[in-house]
Amino acid sequence: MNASVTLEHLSFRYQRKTVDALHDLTYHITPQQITAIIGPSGAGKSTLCAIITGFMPQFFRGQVDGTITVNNHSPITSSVIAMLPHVTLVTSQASSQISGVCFTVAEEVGFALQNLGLAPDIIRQRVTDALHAMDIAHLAERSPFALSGGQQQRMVIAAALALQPPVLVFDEPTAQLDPPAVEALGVTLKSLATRGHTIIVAEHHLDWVATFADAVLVLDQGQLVARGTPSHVFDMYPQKSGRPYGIRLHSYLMQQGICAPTHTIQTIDQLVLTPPPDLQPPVVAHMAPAIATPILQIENVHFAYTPDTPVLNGINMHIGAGERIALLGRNGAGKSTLLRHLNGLLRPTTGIVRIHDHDIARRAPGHNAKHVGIVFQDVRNQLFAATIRDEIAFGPRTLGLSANEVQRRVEHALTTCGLTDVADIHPYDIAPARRRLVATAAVMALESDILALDEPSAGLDEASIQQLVHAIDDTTARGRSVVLVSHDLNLCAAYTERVVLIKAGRVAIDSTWQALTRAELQLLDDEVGLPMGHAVALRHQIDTSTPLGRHLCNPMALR
Amino acid sequence: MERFLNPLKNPINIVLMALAIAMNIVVGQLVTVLKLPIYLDSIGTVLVGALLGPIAGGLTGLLANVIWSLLGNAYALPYAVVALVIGVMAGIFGRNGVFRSNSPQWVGAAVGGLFFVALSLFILTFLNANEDGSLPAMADIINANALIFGITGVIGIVGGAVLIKNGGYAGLAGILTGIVAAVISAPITAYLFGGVTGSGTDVLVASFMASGQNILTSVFAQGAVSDPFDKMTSFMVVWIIINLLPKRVLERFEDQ
Amino acid sequence: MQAGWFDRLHPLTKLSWAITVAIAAYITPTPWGAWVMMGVAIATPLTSAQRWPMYRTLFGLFVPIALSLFIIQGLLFPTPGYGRIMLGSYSLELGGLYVASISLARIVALGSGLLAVILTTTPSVLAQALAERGMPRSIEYILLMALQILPDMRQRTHAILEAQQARGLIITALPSRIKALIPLIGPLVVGALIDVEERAMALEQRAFASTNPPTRLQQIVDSRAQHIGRTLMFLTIGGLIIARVSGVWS
Repeated sequence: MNASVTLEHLSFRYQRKTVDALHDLTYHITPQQITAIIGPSGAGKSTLCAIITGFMPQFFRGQVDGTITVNNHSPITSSVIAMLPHVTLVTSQASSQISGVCFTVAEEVGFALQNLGLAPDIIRQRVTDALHAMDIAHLAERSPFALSGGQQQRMVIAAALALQPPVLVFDEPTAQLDPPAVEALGVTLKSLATRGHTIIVAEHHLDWVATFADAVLVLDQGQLVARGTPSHVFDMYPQKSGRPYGIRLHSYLMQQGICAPTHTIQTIDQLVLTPPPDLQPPVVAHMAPAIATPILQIENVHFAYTPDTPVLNGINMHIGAGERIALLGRNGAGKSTLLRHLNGLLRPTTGIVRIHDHDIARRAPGHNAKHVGIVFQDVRNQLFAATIRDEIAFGPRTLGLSANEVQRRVEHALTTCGLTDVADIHPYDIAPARRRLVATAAVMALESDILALDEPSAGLDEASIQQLVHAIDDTTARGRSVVLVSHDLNLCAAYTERVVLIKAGRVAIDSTWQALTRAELQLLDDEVGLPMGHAVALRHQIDTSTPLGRHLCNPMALR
Repeated sequence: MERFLNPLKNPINIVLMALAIAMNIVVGQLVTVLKLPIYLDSIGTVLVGALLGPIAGGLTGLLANVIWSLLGNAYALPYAVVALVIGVMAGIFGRNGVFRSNSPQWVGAAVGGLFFVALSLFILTFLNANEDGSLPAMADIINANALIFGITGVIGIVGGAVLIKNGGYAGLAGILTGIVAAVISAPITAYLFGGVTGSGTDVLVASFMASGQNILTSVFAQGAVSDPFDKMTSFMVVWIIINLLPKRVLERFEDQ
Repeated sequence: MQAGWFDRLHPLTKLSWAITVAIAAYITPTPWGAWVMMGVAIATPLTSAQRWPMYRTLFGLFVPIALSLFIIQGLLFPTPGYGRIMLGSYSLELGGLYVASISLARIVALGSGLLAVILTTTPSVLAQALAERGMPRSIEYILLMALQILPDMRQRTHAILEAQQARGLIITALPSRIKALIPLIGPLVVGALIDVEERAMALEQRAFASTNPPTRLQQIVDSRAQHIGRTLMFLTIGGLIIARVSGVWS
């Protein structure tokens, strides 16, 4: 296989729109490599992925100018099905790519081949090969709907591989995955590239791009604004590309004289620490004050969905005013269950959850919203209004506040989350990253004592993460607390002070990021991983209380 | 390109119809959990009719009943023709813009008022049936129960103004569809199922029969009390939701 | 449990059987027609692996119907000439009970026939059998997709309820439950409609638009005997309908 993708002055404008979604793109994608497409939300990455795969102009109507060639075929003049032997597309939401017509994984993987009318033994052979390539042969007879998110994605990739296309396009594949799955995906794509496939990946996850991509394209407002190897792009065009956490840490360490000012590194494994002997510890902003009266108390909470599947086995935890807490744990450790105890969506089997000293089990969950607001991961489950303003107003209105107060809160939430320019637009008419900000603003408008965010940064571009951080700052500045449940450990280390690790339904770590002992760092690494600075400290066996350790764990290093 | 013209060959339509069928069932269950006195089990059918027209709407209704029966509700199958008609009517109203237009608020109020008055008239007529089963004249009923009609009229007008608001056309379309649905399903229930469905509404049928009516009329009376209200609510929910949709979704379906 | 002979029949044979039994139950003149067909409907799948789930479901489905029938036609349907039994202050019309038992027999014949087909045939096999006889592929897609998406959508409804309650939604008193309708149905419908596009893209990627006849990896076993059996059943139905319509039977 030696398939290249060539764009020549390619432009595309969606029907009924006045601005080009892609404008004058000229680029040659090298075969047998991983090429990453990065850029802010709305820059045109998904449009480019779709146009390469053949969805324009029949499926997505619009005007095409210029040319594009994929493996010597034109996806503009060919339909999607005609392009299938050359290129396939995998998007971020694996569950939406299941056909729904097949009852087993093996059938789903071979479904396209069945529709094409290939001979049964060819189908069986290709399905077996694809299942093995994606390491899911043991799931062959399961229902596609009985898999985890990561497994579903592997199945969808296997279904694409069964068609044996030389070009594979991925649109934000890491958005819904946890760190081990993100790493595994990178390894899988690398091996596919080695076997001869041309891989194109649109991504927001810059550290992943830095680790696995061979070439990077930066899009902004439909135009190609930078290109090159990852280190080149992140080094020369940080404003346009955004900065991976690895780069931020490295710059900080170079600034402090802890690293020699060498050329940029690809991964932090390549870091060489040369701290000066007189290194002073960093001045870190004063942490949140000790808890006087906690807002929320969780006392010896046990919970089981059914008698023989206990999930929470004695949780004890307090949350005070103005705190920023990272709630971490493996999938299945009990994080989500604990989260739902904070506002009474779930009631403990034994134990008590108190807000301002009142047992919240007595109240309906809706009544607890003014004390604890939760923004869940899938914002589609929340949005239903015709304008962003209405969406944000729903919470305050339901609380029964006066019209003036509702308006005040709406305006404040709009400003804090940077949504004033789109206040009267439909939530689904803006880019997906900003939609998550809408959901957050809508819950923030409740002005509850505690704001909990479930995977708030999944699929967000750098600008939106900055906006999110701004919103978090605003919340805690007003004496309210924020709980972040997130796989993004760097985000947590940069913007929270306290870390709580849930393991097997118990609190295994409850400390600040600065005060983690080596044993706790190891435990954290085993369970969920570590932020970059802490990982370096662990690997080089540096104590976090030493000046060098303090620098490595300085949240400012990751900002 | 031409394959997109046949509604069944377009993958968008196929997916929408499948999701709509699931929606019927799920929303019907949601309403049970919320303990509301309606079925609301044709939201998906009405939605498809509104977005894709009568053929797709009718097909969705038909297949929805097939799915219902595949899930173990064997007696859903004979009502497939009713579901089909609901989908077709929703489609016809949809093609005429009922779901995209706002009625003046007085229309909503008038629809509410008329509906409640008609309902009361209907119930009272049956309850005051003569010994031999014949029905009294409408004028007599109105004169005898003027106060009741006055009250229900006011409740209906106020309720219509507040709840129906600008969805008057959709509400009216729903009422009409509900009446047609009751007319078609009555003979099915009466002749195929002996007048019963095993649900709570059988009580209503029983009380109509107790006042002297035969099975067919009693079943129709029960349907005429519950179906128009249920379909009016369904149509209005769909009207509200269509007006909550982003432009690009509506445009996507308009192009079909 | 071992699959019985009924389970192994071709799906269309089972379907034809269920339809024949149901139509015969309704068309043949009372009383013995309905009762015999009910017996046939219940007894034929006796050796099926699914018999206990089937009989349990039957019982659960039809007890409430039997009760309603009993009340409506027994208590409320005056049938002069048949006599009545007194039960306290209520009179039970024997004629009504007679009619009710016939109605019940017919309903059971219809329901148990269909139930037997549904419980002994997986949806994909049933859909494949119909598609092989001419049902359009797209209808097969819609049916199977709807069935498989259902649990997913139910989970979404639960997640929507959680998300909206976390924003203050109350569902205790009746007015609050009515007001909760749109905040709960809205995200469900809007989310589903947004999803349509991505799912349609996935279908395109599964070669949905292919004009080649699809390869079926599973062959459904049919036999000449069953083919003949199905033809006979259709002839029987035709004969019954003609006999009834032309007034030979009253």
